[in-house]
Amino acid sequence: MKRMSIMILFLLSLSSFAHCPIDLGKTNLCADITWVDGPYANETSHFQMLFWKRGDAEHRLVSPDYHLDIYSWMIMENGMNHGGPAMNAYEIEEGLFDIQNARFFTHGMNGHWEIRVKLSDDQGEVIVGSQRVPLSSDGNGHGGGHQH
Amino acid sequence: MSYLINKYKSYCLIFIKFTLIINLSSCGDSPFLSDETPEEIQNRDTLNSDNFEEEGSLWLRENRYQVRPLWRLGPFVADESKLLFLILDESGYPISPEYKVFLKIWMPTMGHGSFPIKVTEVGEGIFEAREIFFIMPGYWDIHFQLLDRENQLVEEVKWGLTL
Repeated sequence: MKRMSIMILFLLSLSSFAHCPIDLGKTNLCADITWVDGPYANETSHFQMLFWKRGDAEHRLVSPDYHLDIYSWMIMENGMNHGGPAMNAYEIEEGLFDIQNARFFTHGMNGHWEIRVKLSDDQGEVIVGSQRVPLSSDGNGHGGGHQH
Repeated sequence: MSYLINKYKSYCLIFIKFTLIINLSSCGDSPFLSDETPEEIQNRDTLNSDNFEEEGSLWLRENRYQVRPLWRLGPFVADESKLLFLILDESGYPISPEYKVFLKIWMPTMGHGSFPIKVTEVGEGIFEAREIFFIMPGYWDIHFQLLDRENQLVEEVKWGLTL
C-alpha cells in the first residue's frame, strides 16, 4: 500500500512536469492558450496566452525575458504555408498576454491554423512554439467562451 | 446654359463632400495634395491595368457603374488595409446601387482568399472597406461585387495589385 501511494504520488508529479502544452525549449518556459471568445472562422476571436516555468506544478505565471511575437500560421495541405492577419498581444498581467484581434479564415483553403509564439533574444536565438487552433470542420471552434 | 451651370454646381458639391469626408477622417495629408513621389505610392503601376479605361476607374458595365478606389490605409502585407471607393453612375454622380456591394480579395496563384472584408456605405455611393488583410506578398485580385438579395453574384469587376 505504501509503495502504491509512493507510485501514485510519483506519477502525479510526473504528469505535472509533463503538462507543458507549448514547450519553449531552452528558455525553460511553457505556454498555453485559453480561449476567451472563439475560436471562429471568419470572425474575430479572443484568446490569452500564459507563460510559466517548465516544471512548476503550480503554473505560476512568469513574464518571458525575450522579445515576443505571437502570430497565426496556416499549414496548408498543398504545402504553401503562410501567415494570417496581424494580431496584437498585450501583457495585461505578468506572464499573461491578451490577444483580442485574432482572425482565422477558411476561404478556399484546405489546412489548419496554428498559433505560434516566437521568443528571440539579443543574440538572435529564436525559439518557436505552436498550438493548433481548434476550428471544427464547420469552421468554428471548440475553445470555449461565448459562441455566436 | 442654366442647366449646365446647375449640373456643374451639383457636381462640385458632391466633389466637395467627398473631399471633406476624406480630409476629416484622415490622419495624414490629403491624397490630392500628396507630396509622395510615384515610387513611394504602392501599386501605382496597377492603375494602368486593363481594368482602367480612365485612370482611377473600374467599370461594372452591365449596371453602368464606375468604381473609383482610393487607399485610406495601406495596402500592407499582414496588417490591416482600408479602402475608400466611390460608385458612380454614367454621368459621374455617386449612386447607391440597387444591389448589395461586396468586396473580396483573392490570390489566384495560391488559390485562396483572406479574412472577410467589412463594407459600409458612409454616404450615397461612398463606401469604406476595412479589415482588408493581404496575408502574404504577391499578386492579389480585389473583386468589387454586386450581389442580389439571395447573395448571388450579379456582376463584378477585378482590380489587380502586386504587394
